[in-house]
Amino acid sequence: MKTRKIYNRIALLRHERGMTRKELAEKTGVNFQTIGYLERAEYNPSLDLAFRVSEVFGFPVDFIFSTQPQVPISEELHKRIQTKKEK
Amino acid sequence: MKTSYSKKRIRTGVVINYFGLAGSVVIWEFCSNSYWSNTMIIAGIVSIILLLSSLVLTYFTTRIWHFSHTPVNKMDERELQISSHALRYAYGIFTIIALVTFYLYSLAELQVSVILAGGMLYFAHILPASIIAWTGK
Repeated sequence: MKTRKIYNRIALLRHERGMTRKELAEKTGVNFQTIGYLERAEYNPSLDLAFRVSEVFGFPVDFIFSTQPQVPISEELHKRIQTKKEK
Repeated sequence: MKTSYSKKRIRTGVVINYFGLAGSVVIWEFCSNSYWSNTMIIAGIVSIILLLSSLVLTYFTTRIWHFSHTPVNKMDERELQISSHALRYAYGIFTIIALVTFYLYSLAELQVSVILAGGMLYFAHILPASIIAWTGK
């Protein structure tokens, strides 16, 4: 079965929190190299690992991971504000 | 795998390692059936040096060896995926090569030497790590 590429915001969230790959790896229970592979979207995490990552950052899984290339957070916020204003 | 080790360098190391292994076994098999000339002794020593140095530089220092020789409970999910994939391919490749080798030996009515058996044992151990090194995952 050919798997789809899973995009994520791990690198962005990690930088925002001032966390190193090693620190995130320790919190999620994986090797720090695996974090690098995840950030480059070269490895698709298991559901368990995806939940562990989302628990570390305190965001829902679908906010961090997506099957579509993710837009910058500022752009997404702007879109949401515009939609609210239109309503 | 450290990023400072380029894919090309690792692949070169894998090739040198197999040349070293094949060289050592072939020289031993050839010379034990005829005689040990000085050239063959030097060639044998060079093969062993190539084998050992490429083993250390390609497999140990890059931690590739770790993927195929670490207990399952000490690996994360990505490492498990990589090692399972490599072991699956290694099993198929090793089985075919071992059976063909022993079949050819039986056809030629040759005895399996200690060195050939040792070489096959080494090959069985190194093959999964070579697949990981070659694919660069």
